[in-house]
Amino acid sequence: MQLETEEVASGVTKAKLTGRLDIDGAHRIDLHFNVLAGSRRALIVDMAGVTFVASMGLRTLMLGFKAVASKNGKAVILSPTPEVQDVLVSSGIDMLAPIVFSLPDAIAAVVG
Amino acid sequence: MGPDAEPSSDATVTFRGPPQRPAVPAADRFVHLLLLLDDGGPARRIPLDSLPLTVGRAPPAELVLEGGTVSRRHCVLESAGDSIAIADLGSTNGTFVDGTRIDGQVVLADGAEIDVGIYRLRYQRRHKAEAAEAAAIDDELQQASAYVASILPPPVDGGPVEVEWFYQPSTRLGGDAFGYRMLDDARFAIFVLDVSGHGAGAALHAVSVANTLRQGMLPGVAFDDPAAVIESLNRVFPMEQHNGLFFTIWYGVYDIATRTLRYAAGGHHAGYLISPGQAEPTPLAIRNPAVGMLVGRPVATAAASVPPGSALSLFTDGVFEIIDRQGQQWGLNHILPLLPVAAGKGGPRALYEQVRAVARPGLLDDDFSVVTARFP
Repeated sequence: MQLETEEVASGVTKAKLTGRLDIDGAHRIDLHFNVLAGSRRALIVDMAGVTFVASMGLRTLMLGFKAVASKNGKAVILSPTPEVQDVLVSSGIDMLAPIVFSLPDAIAAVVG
Repeated sequence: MGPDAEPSSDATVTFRGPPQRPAVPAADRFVHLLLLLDDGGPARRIPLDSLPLTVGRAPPAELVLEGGTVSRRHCVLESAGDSIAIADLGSTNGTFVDGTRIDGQVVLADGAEIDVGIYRLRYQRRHKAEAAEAAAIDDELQQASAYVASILPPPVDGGPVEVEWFYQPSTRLGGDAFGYRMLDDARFAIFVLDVSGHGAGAALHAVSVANTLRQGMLPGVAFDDPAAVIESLNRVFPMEQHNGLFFTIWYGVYDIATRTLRYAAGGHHAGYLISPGQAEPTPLAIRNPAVGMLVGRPVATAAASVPPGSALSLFTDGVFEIIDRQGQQWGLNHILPLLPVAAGKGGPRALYEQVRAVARPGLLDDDFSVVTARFP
C-alpha cells in the first residue's frame, strides 16, 4: 500500500492510494494518512489504484474523514473500482465522504 | 502418486520430537519454527530446536505427515548457520518452496512457505526475545478467542425457529460475534456483527456489544425495533470513545404469527433469505452507516415476509473476502452461488468446507462466521 500526495488546486490535496488496503496496508499508511487528514480541509482520496479494502482500511479512512469534517472541511473519494465501491457503500463511509468519478467533480465537491 | 505412496484419506500429523540420533542444536540466537497451516484452526507450531529433522509419511521420520501425497522419506531440514536449509529426499511429488520445486538444498528465508504433498508449512525465524513475545501474544489471542466462543449461544433444534452456526476464528482473531434469542413467545431476534480490525481489542469489543444485545442492556430500548436498537448502539458505542473501533451489524426480528422479518443493518452487507422454489437467495439489505461512525442519525429499516421452509443466512465478510486458488480476490458476489448450501441441516459447516475448497491453501485471513435460522 502506497500513499502519494499532490496539490491539485489551491488548498486542495489529492492523496493517491495504491495497493491492498487490508490490515497490513492500513498499518502502513495509518500515520501518514491521519496526519494528512488532520491538517487539510479539502481532501480528495484517489482510490483508483486500490484493489481491496478490509475493515481495518475502512477504519483508517473513516478516522481521516472524521478529522477533516471536524475542521468543517470536506473529503471525497475518487474513482474506486466497482468491487471497492461496493465495500465502501455497504459500510456507509460514503455518507462521510461522497464518491465521485472525475477530478474536476472531486475538486468542486471539496472547495467552498 | 508414486510407487512408495499408499492411498490414504487421513491427513493427520504426528510430531515425534527430537530424533534418537545425537542432535546438532540450531544456532542459539534464533528460534526456528515451522507453522503447519492446517485446514481451519490455529496454525500448529513445530519447534525446530533439534536438527536434522526428517519429514515423511511414516516413522522413522520425526515429523510425520500422513497421506498418500507424502513420500515415506520426503525431505529433510538441517541447520545452516543462523538459518535452516531444506532438501528433498527424492520424493515422488516433490518439495516446493514458495511455489518452486526444489532441486538440491535450499536455505529458507523467514516466512518461506513449504509445500509437502497436501500440507503447507511456513518457516519462521525469530530472535529468542521476539519468539517469547509472539508466544505470549498467541496465548492472549487464544484466550480472547475462547472468550468469544463462550458467549455464542447453543444451536436451536426444533420449535418455530431453528438455528445453526459455524464459527472459525482466524489466527489474528477478527471481531466477529453473533447471537439470537426469543424476545417473548411471539418474536425472535437475531444478529451478527463484525468489529473493525483484528486482535484481542476487536474481539473484546465484539463481546461487549454482543453481551449488550443478548442481555437486553440498552436502557429504554424496545428490542423488537431494529432501528431503535441500532440507533441506541450508535449512542453507546461511538468510535471516538472506543479506540477508533466501529462495527457493522445486521439485526432482525421475526414475528412468528405474521411470518414477517423486520430488519436493519449498520454498514453490514445483506442477509440472505433462501426460500423453497426460489432459484436465487433474496438479499435483505438496507443501508445505514456502520455503528459508531455517525451518531444521532436515524436508522432505516425494512421488512420481508418469510415463506414456510425458508432459511435466513447471516455471515461476516471473512466468509467471502478470500483469495481463491487462482489468486483472485473474492467479493460478496462470488459467495452467492454457494449460499444455498448454508440453508440445510449442517449448512453453515458445509459452506465453510466449500469455501475452504476454493480458497488458497493456508489459514483464512479473517474470522469465518455463518448463522442460519430456519423457519419451518
